[in-house]
This record gives sequence, C-alpha cells and structure tokens, in this order.
Amino acid sequence: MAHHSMESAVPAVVAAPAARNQALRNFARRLGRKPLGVAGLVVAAVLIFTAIFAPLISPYDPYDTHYGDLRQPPGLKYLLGSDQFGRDQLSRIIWGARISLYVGIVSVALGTTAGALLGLLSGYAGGKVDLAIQRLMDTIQAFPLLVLALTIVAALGTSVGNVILALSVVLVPQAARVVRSSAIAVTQAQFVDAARAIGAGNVRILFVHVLPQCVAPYIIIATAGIGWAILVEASLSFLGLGTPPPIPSWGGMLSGEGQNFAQSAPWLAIYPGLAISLAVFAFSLLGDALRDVLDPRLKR
Amino acid sequence: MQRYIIRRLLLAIPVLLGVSITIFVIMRVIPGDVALAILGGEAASGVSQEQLNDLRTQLGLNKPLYEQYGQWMWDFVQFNPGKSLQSGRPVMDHVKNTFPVTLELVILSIAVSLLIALPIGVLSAMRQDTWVDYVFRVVSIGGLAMPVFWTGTLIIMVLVGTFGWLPPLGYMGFFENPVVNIQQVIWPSLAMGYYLSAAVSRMTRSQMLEVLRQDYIRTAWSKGLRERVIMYRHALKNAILPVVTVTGIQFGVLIGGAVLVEIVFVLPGMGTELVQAILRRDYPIVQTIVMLIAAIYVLVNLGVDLLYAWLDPRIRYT
Repeated sequence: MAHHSMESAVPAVVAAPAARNQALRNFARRLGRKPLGVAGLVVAAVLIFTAIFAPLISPYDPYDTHYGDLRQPPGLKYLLGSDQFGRDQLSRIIWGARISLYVGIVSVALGTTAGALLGLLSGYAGGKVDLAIQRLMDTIQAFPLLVLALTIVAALGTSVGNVILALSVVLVPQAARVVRSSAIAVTQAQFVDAARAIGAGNVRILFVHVLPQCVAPYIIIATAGIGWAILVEASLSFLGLGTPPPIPSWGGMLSGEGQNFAQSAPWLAIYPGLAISLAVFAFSLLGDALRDVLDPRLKR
Repeated sequence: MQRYIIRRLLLAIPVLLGVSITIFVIMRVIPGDVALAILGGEAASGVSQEQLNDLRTQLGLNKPLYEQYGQWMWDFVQFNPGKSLQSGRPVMDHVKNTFPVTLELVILSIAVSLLIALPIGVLSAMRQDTWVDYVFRVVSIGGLAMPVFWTGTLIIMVLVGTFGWLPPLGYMGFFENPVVNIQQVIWPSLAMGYYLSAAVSRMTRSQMLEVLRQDYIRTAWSKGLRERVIMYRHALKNAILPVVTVTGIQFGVLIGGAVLVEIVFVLPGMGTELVQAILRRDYPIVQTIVMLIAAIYVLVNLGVDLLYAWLDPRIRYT
C-alpha cells in the first residue's frame, strides 16, 4: 500500500532505475518536439565545441599581428577581416568563445551550486536559518546586477578570476530562491516523514530525497544563467573591467576595435556582437524549452 | 492600505542598511594597501611613507572599521560623502551634474520600451501562433540577446554610414537646448528601449493570452463588442498588472544598460562617471554612486510594489 502511494507522489526522476531510463527517454522526446529549443541546443553545442577545440579550428593565432594586413575587410585570407593590429578576426572570435563560455559556465556552476545549497538549507531547515539566509539574499538582490558585478570587480581588480567571482555572487540569490521553494514543497511531502520515521538522518534525507526534486528548476536557472553570464562578461569587458586585453574577448573586441573603427572597418564592430547575440540567444532558447518541458511536470 | 505602505517602508530600511554595509565591506576588501594602490601601485618607488600616511589619514583608514562606516553614513545622509581623490572636488559635485543626464535617459528609455513592447505584446497575443506572432517573438528575443552596447554601436553606424549624420557633440541639457538635447538622447534611448522591451513584450503577451481565456472575455465577445474594444477596454486593463511589475523589475536592468549606453554614445551621465571613477580608482565616487544607485533601485522596487497593491486590491489583504 505504502509503496503504491509513494510511487504516485514521486515524479519519475526519483523512481527505480528502469523507470528512470524511461523518464529520460520521455524527456528527450519532449524536448525534441520543441524546434526552437533544439536549435538552441545545437548552437550551444557548436559553441562549446568551438571553445574546446579552438586551437585546432582557428586559422591563425589570435595574438599574432600581421603588420602588412591592417584592417583588411573580410576576404579569402582573413575570413572575417583583420583588426588594426593585423590580427585575424575569425581566430579572435573563436578564441573569444573560449573565454565567454569558460566564464559563463564556471560562474554559473559556482553561483547556482552555492545558491542551490543555500536554498536547500534554507528550505529544509526553516526557522531562523531560513530567515538569516533570506536576508542575505535580499541584500544581494537589492543591487542592480551589473552594478553589483561592477563593484566587486572594481574592488578586487580586473581579471578573469574576479569576473567569475563577481558573476557567481550575483547568481546566488535567484538559484537559492528557486531551490528553496522546491525544497519547502518537498519537505512537507509524506515520504520525507516516512524516511524520518524509519530513522534516516537529516543529511541523508536532504541528499537522497529532497535534492532530486530540486534538480529541474536548478537546470532551468543554470541554463538561462549561462546566457546571462556571457552577456555580463561581454559587458564588463566592453567597459574595460572584464577580461584584460590582449586576451581575446567578444566584449573587449567591441569596445576597442569596434568603437574606434566602426566606420572605417565595420566588420570589427559587427561580428563580435553577432557572436555574443548568437550565444545568448542559443542558451535562452534552450532554457525556455527546458522550462516548458520540465515545468508542467512539476506542476502536476 | 496605509498599514501596507508603512509596513513596506519599514521593511525597506534594513535592506538599505544592508546595502550600505555591503558596499562598505566590498570597498574595504580591496586587497593590498588602498593608499598605495591610489598613489601608484607597488611599482611606484617614489611614494614616500609620509605621503602614504597622509593619504591614509585623509581616507580615514586608520580608524576602526565601524567608525569609518559611521563617518561615511553620517556624511552621506548630509549629502556630503567625501571628496574625489582625483579632482579634490566634493563627490556631490560630480554626482549633481551627471544625475540629470542619466535620469532623462532612463525616463525616455522606459517610454520607448513601453511604446514598443505593449503593442507588440497585444498584437502577438491577438494573433497567437500566426506568422505575426513568430516575427514579433523573434524580434523581442533579439532585444534580450543583443547586447545593448552592440545595438548602440549599430545605431551609430547606421546613422553615420547611411544617413551621414551624427548626434551633436557637446552634451546639452534639456532645459538648455531641447532640440539638440533630444537629438542626443533619443538614440541611446532607442537602443535601451529595445533592450528593455523584450521582457515587457513577452510578459504582456503571456498575460494577455491568460486574460483572453477568461470567461468575461467570452461574455464580451458574445455581447458583440468589437475586437479592439475588447482588447483595450477589457483585456489589457487586466493583463497590465504583472507588466507593471516587470517594468519595475526591469529598472535594475535599465540602470546596468544605462552605464553601457552612456559609454557608447558618450553621454556625461552617472554611468560614465562610475566607470571612469572605477578605472582611476576614485573610491569615494565609486562608493557614493553605487550607494545612490542601489538606494534608488530599492525605492523604485518599493514604489512598484505599492503601485501594484494600489492597482490590485487583492494584494493588500494577503
């Protein structure tokens, strides 16, 4: 009897292994029905591939200057043109993908994981712990996001590591909030009481029972967060407060070369921006599709 | 209603305090010696111990932390938060001149974004799943994905490249010379408005879709009312509430975007001032501007909450 009621209360994610494989296949099929989401997934995969295999794909070294070929328009030799130092744009954009994706993924991983842990703790423990953590989250959220990232980078100095740190901090509250509400919902479910009744410790309950229910919103937040983080890293680099030159970064390319030569060499201003837009677009579409697929199941 | 207002106002105070402490802590966490960093970094061997000590005293770094914080808060509340490290002028001077520029940009941007987003959202909902809907949805996601500084750069390129026209240099305030001023501010507002309109139009669309499914809309149809009357008199009024909230939430994005857009269009606003102060390590200015921005953001959020409660009586009683 208890076994049956448990199965109906627990979505497939936590069920037995055979059911879990079936759930994954269902998930994949449902995601496949959303063409925009699949498009986003494909583009994101291409970007990640580009980032990983940058040294192999890029036609030139992004730092190499070719002083004979300054500001060449896109052509056979330099597929997307060259900048004022004679560096190949295409190579710089390919290597820029590395920075953007590295910063995007790492900061989201750090920020959402820290936020998720705080949210888990907050939702499960309740009471004073919950209140204290929520106050902290409110304080962080009281800042406009870019301004907070700016302030942290201003204080700590301009480097890739500090940008990652700043972005992670800014991402914590949202992840915490979403995971917390899942955790609260789960904590009140019957099977948690049942687990406690048979003597399961709090840690075990947290990780074996509560955590899997929070996975879906976490995935949604994380995917959307990557798009956002890429945008903010580009913005910071554009302001000169992100990835320090000459490391190729899409935002940095738009500020130095893009601003100064927008009229005489428009390709310098167009392609890096296009790259940023494409990346953010892809992850946003993917995030939207994931939310459509995962959310209705949660509501049930 | 009054109790709600008072309650929310009181709740805002600890948030503001928390914000000020956070800013203070972040700025004090700067690794290394602040005075040394300001005077030229570790490589500057020409910096004497005397100069260091002078600067440290001037910045009040020798006092205990809570005293420094108290001093800063006291000064801030009196509208005199210290002096710029570079120019020596009071920070308030820097802020006073730049604030109106940013304010005008913000107001125009919100106006532009609503002008773009509301019609798009309504039309998208009315013609759901038709090509009109898809076109509008792609266009509005473009607003989210395209970095606002790129949109700004593209606008400038189009203005100069296609029309051979550039906004007049040398910023003019609105009251100095309205014509020139609008010419200068309209383009960054367009860029920002487009950027903001994305979220608002998506929210408008989904809210309209939900409202259109309601029974009272069906009643309106069966009464024989025309589509436009139904849309604007009945549907939009009910759908507008979360849109108000989203617009308020967008304010945070707006401020971030303002910083970027001001740099692209070379507007002497608070954003430009902030970035320049960061680049030259003018910490008093950075501290003050960030505090100001955060305080405004908190107050705007509060205002939006109150507006929402006023518009929707159901909220007040929860």
